[in-house]
Amino acid sequence: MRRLLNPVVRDLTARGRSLADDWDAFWFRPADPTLLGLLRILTGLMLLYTHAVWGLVLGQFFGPVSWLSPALVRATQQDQYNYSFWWLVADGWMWPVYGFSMAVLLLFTLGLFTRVTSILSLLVVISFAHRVPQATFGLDQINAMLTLYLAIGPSGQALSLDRFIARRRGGSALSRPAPSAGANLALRLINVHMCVIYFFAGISKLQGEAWWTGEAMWRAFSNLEYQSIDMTWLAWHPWLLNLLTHVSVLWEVFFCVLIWQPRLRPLMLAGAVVLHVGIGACLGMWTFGLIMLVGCASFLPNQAVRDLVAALSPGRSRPRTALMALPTPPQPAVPWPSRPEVPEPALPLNRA
Amino acid sequence: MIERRIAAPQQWRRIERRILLTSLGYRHWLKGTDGICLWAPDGRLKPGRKDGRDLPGSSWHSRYLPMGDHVVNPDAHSRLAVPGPTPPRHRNGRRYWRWMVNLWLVFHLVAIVIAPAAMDPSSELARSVHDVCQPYLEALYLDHGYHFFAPAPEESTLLSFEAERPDGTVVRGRIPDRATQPRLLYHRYFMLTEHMNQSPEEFRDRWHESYAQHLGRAYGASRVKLIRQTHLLSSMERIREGGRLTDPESYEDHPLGDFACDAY
Repeated sequence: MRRLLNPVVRDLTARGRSLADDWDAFWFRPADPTLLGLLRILTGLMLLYTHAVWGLVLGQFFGPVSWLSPALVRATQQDQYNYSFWWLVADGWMWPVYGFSMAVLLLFTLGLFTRVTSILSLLVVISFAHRVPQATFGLDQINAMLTLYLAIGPSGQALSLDRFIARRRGGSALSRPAPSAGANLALRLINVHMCVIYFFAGISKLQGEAWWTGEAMWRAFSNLEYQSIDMTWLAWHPWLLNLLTHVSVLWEVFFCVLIWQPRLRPLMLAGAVVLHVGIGACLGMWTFGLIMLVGCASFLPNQAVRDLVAALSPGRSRPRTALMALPTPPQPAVPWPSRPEVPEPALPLNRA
Repeated sequence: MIERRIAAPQQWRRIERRILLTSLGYRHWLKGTDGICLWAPDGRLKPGRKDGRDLPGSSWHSRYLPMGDHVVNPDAHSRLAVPGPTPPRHRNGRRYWRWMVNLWLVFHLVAIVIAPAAMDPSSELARSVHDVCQPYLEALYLDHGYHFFAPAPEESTLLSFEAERPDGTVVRGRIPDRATQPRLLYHRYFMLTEHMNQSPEEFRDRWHESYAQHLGRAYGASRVKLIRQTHLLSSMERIREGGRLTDPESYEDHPLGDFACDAY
């Protein structure tokens, strides 16, 4: 019996270890934080804009006699685990608190004290959303999701004032951010969450008849309250509407699978651009479309982003193509082994 | 661990020909087309060459593995499987930390999947798991269904109002106003009216009262009359026959009542 079971146990153990290795590599393989830094800037800009717009009507939405009175919102949230610092803010402190929130978001966008300001930014985003839950929509959900993951990862390690200050203090040895498991974890979390969003956005549409009959896109385009461009000319092209409907659902449902295929990834990302720019242009939801594209940008190749950033940076040479960022300091032309070296443990291997 | 890896070179290819040699105390990352990188415990990275002969002078010279694009002869490197430096004491702490992160990661992944999966219609199982994750999801503002335009794009809900001032003048309006700028602000108002239909039954009256009080204060009115309007969607046939999206017959009125305002 043991002879029969041993190979099975060994095989299962090997498969388990292989799975654990794959899991480890997927989530914790050190990654260059440049892409994460770029996402921080883009998300931060969207946060600044979103909350600047709140500032135009702060009293209407956050004041004592707002559209949604504090008593009403708190009553609707009594059995929920929602929190908002707005419940602690007295009437006279509304604008100072708002100003402080905007300052936090600005520092987060610039990447100054990012470890702290990223967490504070998350508190700001969640507090605003929980204060006016009936005035929020997909934009706020994606804002919070991205801010959460940017707070988890070292989003201030690249393209940030933190980085700039560290370079000034540390010299050229810190000219490039070191790869980190945290950066990879944050990027992977964004990747996976975007897949979850698109998958459920897609399969929830399959409950509706209009997405099967091909009329759903017409129903969206003919909604005057969403419409920002007159798209009624499509009434004379029902086949085109059917095609747009079917392609959108298929793209959303299969995004979570096809985006991981290297050959199909550019196609899927191009589809995201078309879809979200279309939402922005035709349905007037530019902010939602753009923040979804920021989420999709987490699938961009790290290397390409770093090269692009280096190319756009004035006075910097293009980085060498390599597996990861290699912060190797320039070494003097002294013949080995006379050069002073970092001590290493004795290891009689590979000695020619 | 290293022997197992060396005995199964196909595993290396499956994980992009990358090898982790923990027994040496260093993490050696290999990638066929990009050369070799060594990652030391102190976090520093060193570049290497595919043939294992590194730049003269690198302190990591002896660590490089003489491997090419493909791992072809793992037996040749079995001599590497020797005891390395004594692991630092903090390694156990890092291991526990890694376990904690992994546990959180699994929980987080379950939570972000169950949040949309537990939206109606959903199974008892999904709702039960959601109940466990709910505090976490709500605290992080992750409890969403992502049902964008699902199950189908529906007609809009608007709010029409008449605010009567003490001097008898009446202000009429409709929310959202398409002239509102910027567009994001327009969407905020639009969401206020769209969510009216989704408000819990027990809060519906208080909800309308809150809107009326705000309008009364905004316009200095003593009475506010609210009307919920449903803007019906037009069919393609109707548009082809000359209909317009703004035709009055596409709006349905549902009076919500008159509200006395004391906040102005």
